Amino acid sequence: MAETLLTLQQLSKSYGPAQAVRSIDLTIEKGEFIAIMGPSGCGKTTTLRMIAGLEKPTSGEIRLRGRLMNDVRPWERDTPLVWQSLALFPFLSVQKNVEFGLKMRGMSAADRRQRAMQWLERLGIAEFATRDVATLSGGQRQRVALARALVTEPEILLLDEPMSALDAHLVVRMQAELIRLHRELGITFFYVTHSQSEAFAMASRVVIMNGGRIEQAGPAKDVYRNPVNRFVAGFVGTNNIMSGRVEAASDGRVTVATPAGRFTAPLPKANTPSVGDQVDYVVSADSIAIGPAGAANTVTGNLVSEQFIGSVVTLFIEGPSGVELRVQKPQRDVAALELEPGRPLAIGWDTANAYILPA
Amino acid sequence: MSTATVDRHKPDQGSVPPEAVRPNWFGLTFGLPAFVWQLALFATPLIFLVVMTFWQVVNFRPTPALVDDNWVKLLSAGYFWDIYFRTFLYGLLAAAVASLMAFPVAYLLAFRASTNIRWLAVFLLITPFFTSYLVRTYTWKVILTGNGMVNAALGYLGLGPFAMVNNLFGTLVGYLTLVLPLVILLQLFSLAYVDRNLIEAAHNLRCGALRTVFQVIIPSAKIGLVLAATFAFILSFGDYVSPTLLGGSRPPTLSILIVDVVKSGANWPEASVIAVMMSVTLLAVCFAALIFAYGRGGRRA
Amino acid sequence: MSGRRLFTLLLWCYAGAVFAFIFAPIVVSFIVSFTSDRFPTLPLGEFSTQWYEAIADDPTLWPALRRTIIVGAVVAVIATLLGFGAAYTDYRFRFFGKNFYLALALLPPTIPVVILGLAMLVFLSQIGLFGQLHSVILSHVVLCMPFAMALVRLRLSQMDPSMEAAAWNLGASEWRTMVEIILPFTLPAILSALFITMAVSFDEFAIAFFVSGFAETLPVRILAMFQGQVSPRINAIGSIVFTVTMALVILAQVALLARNPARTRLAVAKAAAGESTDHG
Repeated sequence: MAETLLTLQQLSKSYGPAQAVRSIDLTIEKGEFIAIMGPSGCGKTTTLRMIAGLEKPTSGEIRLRGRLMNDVRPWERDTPLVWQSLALFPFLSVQKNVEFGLKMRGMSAADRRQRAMQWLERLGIAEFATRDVATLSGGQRQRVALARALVTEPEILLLDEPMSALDAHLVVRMQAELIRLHRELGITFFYVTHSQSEAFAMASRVVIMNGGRIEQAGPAKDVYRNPVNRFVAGFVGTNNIMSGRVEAASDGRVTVATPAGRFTAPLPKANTPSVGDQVDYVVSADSIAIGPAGAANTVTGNLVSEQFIGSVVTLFIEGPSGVELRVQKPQRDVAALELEPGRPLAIGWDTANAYILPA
Repeated sequence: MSTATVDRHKPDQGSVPPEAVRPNWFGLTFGLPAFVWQLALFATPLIFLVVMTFWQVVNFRPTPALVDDNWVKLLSAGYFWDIYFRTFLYGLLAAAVASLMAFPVAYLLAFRASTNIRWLAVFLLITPFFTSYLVRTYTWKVILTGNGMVNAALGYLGLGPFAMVNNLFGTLVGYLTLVLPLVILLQLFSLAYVDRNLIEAAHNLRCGALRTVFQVIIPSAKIGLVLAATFAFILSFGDYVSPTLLGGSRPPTLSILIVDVVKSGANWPEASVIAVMMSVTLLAVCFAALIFAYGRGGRRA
Repeated sequence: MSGRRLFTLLLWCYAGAVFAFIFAPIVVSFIVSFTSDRFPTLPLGEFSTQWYEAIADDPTLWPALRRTIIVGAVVAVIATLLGFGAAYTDYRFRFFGKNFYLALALLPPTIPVVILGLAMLVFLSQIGLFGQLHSVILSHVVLCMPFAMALVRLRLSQMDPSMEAAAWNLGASEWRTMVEIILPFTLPAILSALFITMAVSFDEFAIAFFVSGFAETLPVRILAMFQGQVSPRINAIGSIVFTVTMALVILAQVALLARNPARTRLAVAKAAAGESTDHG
């Protein structure tokens, strides 16, 4: 059984009338890689800052290894943070930056020099030890920030959107680096981001926040495949969400009447809906097939536009009653179809690929 | 729904964490000394100056009292109002002349000069602030005086001599010496923030250079231009050196009046009335300038 | 030549004339101080150092210079200390009455020096602090502190807003962070503030005129000399003062640029060019 490292209990933070975090509960285990995700202003950064002691909770508790942390000053904690801006000290060399935390802990100059060099080597930037941080590239600075935070060998590392300033190709490399570090060190990573690709690529558990509340927490795959509500379904992945009314619910399947047509989904085991209920019908963009394939659910619409992101194409299709549907396919599959905007297009999906959420 | 919306370069600028912004003992150590010093030696003297206007001079010494003699005496004196309005007009004149003289230079530096030239010009314009204003004014007197350099040079051309000191011209030269570099700098900074796209757009609409200046640039930079003129007014209005040295003290300005009243009569209460009147005037001018700058048509685009 | 080119050329000529006007008194003062004429005109008199010899022999000038230097040095230290504290307070804290605080800290240079001088005279004589060297020091700190504050505040605004918290996060207390992070980061501005405040004090005559009594500083002495006779000695003193002040200002510039010349220059140039100056 995993060991609990950090617990947040009914944690709230408000600035005057504005509530940034509303009574959240979260238990974080030792060695977890947890990603907190949500739109800006959802309270994710405030939560991280409360853990670091940079904000004081309005109510609720933060416990690290059972110790109540609410009133512990930031410098008396061991919760190093990798900042969005990195916040390296520009007047110190790379090595002095890394040594900083050790110096504050009173370690002798020789010892901290040795420790700092170990970490610089581990992150592959030992050759820059004497350099001015301003002369380093984005990726190198990122590594300095990591080394500086990890040098005191903490049990938890806080990361506040640390890759938001990196170029796209560097992000992928840093993700691999973080995954490697996390595996090697076995400490907890608490990673705040608004990028789901980062979160799903690295985290073992994902927490989705919105409006200061936790909407859903769980293993990345669960959150991706089974969003618990419309917000999460809308935030995670690329889902088509249609409001509708339940027309039939039997034989393990439910039929929903939506403006775009009548569709089926598996009958949920919990919260089974009854006929007449308002529900949201969800089908993810990548599980929709193009062409009449004898699928259980079909729609014919007009292709409005195409959007290319990497090797994936998103097709925007206007269905009946003006409902917009999105279909995601690998580039090479779509190229063979010779699609043209304005042409009618038939799409379909299987019952098993859809699900319903209570409205 | 959202495909990892790319919103990379948006750092979370909360400046300092809000919990850290409430002053504590540590903060007071840094904040309090300056506060105490300025309260005791800046605010208090200025307030005391107002108190002093109600004191009396008894046996050549200012004595605590609560009389309006000084106010009545000065505000009913014709010579005071003569001096007051003259000083005010001098200030306006200096502000207007300095603004007009400075604008083409600021325009040139902002829109037609390379970054290096602009950098050099800024450096050169800062230099005068660190040279003695007294010595510069004195040197103008040497240059402009009856048989000084300018008149000597004009003499070779068969012109002059002209009276250029001990009159308004001399005073104005002094005011410009004081305010011109500052006005150019302030205008330059305000022009630098004019949206270049706006100017491009004006050119694309076949707006000539001069029309662009009057219809696009000046309205967009209005606040900075008004600020520059206001500073020119404040400095000229309160200046003692130029009207004394280059204007010949006659007719006097309010600053000269203050110094005379203090030096000859040791009549501090009366001098205080003049100083308070000056301060009130400056406040009113600043206020009017703010309203003018930010008011109607302040940001026409 | 197109109309636009001609227009620009005319503008350059005009700008040259305006700069000539601004620098004429500075340049002429230097020249005049080295000529033999008592009443300088054209053509210039012969080269001479007599005015410098004259001021070297003037018994009233040296004490005045000594006082000016003492005042300048003490004022620079106090004004920079107070200015640093005020700048940091503004940067870091939010509190009730902050606008009043900032007004107190920044307004003095906008008050005409004649008014400020009179106010100081009236007030200091009331509390028995009038007519001595410390009267000038007390008053000059009021005038100079805002310059120090502005310089340090400007530097602090260039600091990554997370940097101070980053130091706390790594185990440095507020005091330790002040010593290890804030002070090193603002050091160029602190040095710059020391030199600039000293230069401002060195040059200030109106307030000193009112409050110095018999403890005349050099600018007050110069003002007194005006009332006496016309003499290129004033130009000689002016040239020396100019050289000293410029040396201080250049030292301040060097201090500001020393850390990161390219970036600071670029930032200033960009600011002047109206471009955004975010670096990070």
